[in-house]
Amino acid sequence: MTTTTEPAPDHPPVPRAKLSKGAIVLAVFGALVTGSYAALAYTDYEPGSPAREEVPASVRSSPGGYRSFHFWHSGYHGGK
Amino acid sequence: MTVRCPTCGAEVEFRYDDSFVRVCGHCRAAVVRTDRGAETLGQFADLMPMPSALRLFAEGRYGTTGFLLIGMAQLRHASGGVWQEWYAKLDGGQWAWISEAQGRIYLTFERPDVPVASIAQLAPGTQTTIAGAPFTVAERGTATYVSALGEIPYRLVPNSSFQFVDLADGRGGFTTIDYGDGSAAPAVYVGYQVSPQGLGLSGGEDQPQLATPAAGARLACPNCNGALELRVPDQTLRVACPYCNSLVSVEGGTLAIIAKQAKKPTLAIALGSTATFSEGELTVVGYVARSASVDGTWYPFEEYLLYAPAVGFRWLVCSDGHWSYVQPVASGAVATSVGAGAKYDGVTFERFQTAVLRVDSVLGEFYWRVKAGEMVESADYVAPPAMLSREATTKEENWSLSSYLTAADVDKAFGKKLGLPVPIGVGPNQPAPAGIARVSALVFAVFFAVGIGKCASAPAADKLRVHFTIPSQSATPKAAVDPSLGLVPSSDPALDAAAGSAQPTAPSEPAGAVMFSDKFELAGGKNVRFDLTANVSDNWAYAALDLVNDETGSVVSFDKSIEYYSGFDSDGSWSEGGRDAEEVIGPVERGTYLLRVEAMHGGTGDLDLGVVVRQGVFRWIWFWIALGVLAVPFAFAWWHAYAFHKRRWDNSNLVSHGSLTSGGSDDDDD
Repeated sequence: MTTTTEPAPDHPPVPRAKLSKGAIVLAVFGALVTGSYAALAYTDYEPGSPAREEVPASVRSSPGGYRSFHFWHSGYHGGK
Repeated sequence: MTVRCPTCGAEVEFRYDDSFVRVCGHCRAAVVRTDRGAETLGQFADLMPMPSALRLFAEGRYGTTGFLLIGMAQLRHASGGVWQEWYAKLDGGQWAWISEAQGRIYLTFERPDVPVASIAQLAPGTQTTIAGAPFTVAERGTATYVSALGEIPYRLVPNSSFQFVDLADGRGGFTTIDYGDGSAAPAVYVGYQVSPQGLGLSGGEDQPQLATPAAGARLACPNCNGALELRVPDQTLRVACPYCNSLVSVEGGTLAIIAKQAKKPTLAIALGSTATFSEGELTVVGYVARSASVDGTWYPFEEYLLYAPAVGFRWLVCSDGHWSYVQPVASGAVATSVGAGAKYDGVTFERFQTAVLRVDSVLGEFYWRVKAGEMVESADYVAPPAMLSREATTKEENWSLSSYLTAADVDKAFGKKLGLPVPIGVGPNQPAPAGIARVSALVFAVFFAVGIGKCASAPAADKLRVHFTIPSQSATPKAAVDPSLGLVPSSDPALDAAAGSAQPTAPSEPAGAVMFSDKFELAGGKNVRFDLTANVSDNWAYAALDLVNDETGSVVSFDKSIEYYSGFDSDGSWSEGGRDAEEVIGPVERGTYLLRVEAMHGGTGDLDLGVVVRQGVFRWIWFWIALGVLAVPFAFAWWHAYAFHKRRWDNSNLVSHGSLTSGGSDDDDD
């Protein structure tokens, strides 16, 4: 008896689920969030970090010299 | 060897010494050679028209072996279908059997050395071993020789019947066992399913001129005389009249009313429509309205029979508005275990439902003796978008593979809007939004890898540890040193008057103690964290810190309050605030820095203020915030997938409710 290399008959392939639009949207969203987090984490960027200023040394050495009233007014102090 | 036909006297030539029967070309008698000369075993009916790629005396080759087709018999299945069996004389003198039915061709060889079980033991679905290979029983039935052509290598008696069992291994292997009438040992034929191209056929005699009705041939309904159009005339056994709804038998070219159907179905897809699916273009030739009995209730569904000569028969099934394209599957190709799922093509299917299926009404034409009330047992196994279905009777077992289609897919296949009904609920093989699990796994794996990688590589190196002493502040506020900042008027004009000045007074701006740290080095590109601790008790401390670059003079300023209060009241002890504070700033230039601290507190005496400066700290807050942002839509997607999954399995009549990600899955994850 001889054999054949033809594909097996009556053996249709099982259809596989295609990637849904929802999954694609989630993947894009996940990539954006993960990418943003990775960028933030690896650059050590700190949102809300105080800005850098240039202040002359003479001013810096003066107590209270370059701080506004509002800087020092730090709000309510006191207990219950 | 040439003999005279005992029936008609015509010359009958036996070309091969080892052939038993020659069919007389004139009277269709089965002529057999004996010691006493030629005898007849009976007379065959006229050949039934069947399309075939095989021809009498055609030469062929299978592998390295050549063969010649020298005879053919037509056999009628007990359910009415007819198939052909060709006899091939091989180069080495052996015989091979080539069967063809519904477009399928099987090449088999007799194996007298192979033992087989009794026919009673081989019920449909039974698994057995044939010649060392596993086979599954697909059918157990009875067939009758109705016609023949050429020379036959065994004693073929016209109109004799025999019992047979067909088995398949699911990979193209095929076995048929001929039990005859039960009086002799069974004959076993083992082989493969092949294609006409694989046989390399050439030559041969033209088919005898048969009264083959052409596709589209019209017959008259014996009840109402309405036109019955046959689209598959060579294989049709039953046709339902579209006018009077009579079910008509067209077997043997004779029209006979089988039944009058009470209910005329309304079709969403017209008979004769053509549609293009994955296997090619097929024509809708029949329609069956069926019902499934589940837990005592009959649920209707519809099946459209599709046909194309190059494809064979297929089904388009609609249940509650959910459509599936259905293809046959060889019995042995599916592996099942008792009470569990099924495995096919490397995919695990979950057992979903068992039911009894009933034919309610039919329209169009059919290749089997269909009738209303016909019942089979069924079992469905799902791996969306696929579903395996087993339909079984005591005589045969059929497996099929359903592929889910949306109504839009069906419209597209037919090339027009069909106005199909809106699907109800979730179909057994309706795919959930696929890929959620895979995408979730990938995204969260990457996210955690980023987080863990960063956490592991964050040195949090100490750059400065210093303690400052904050003296108790003066009760009298000092005037601002730098007048350029502007003077703030007193809020109390009386005080201004008491001071004898019309000018605005100095602001009530207390100045804290100013202190400086030693110089320290900071690397570039890394964040800087300041941890402040002050042992305050019912007191507050306030510090304004400047991180000063000693080389460039640039300053990063921030301030922090530390306050802690405690006591007792009617509810017991209480406390609020804390004794430490922290601040993190982004990367600064690489260089030498010092810390300028200007601080005060609200108590008496000195207060120790500890400051630790670290660089390259892992920021958990951003990790948790990002994780939270990430989790919200994924959690919603998983909830949706779970609800979808639950709605699907609510329709199952089995205990198992499957798993959310199994089987190629509810969502994919095949």
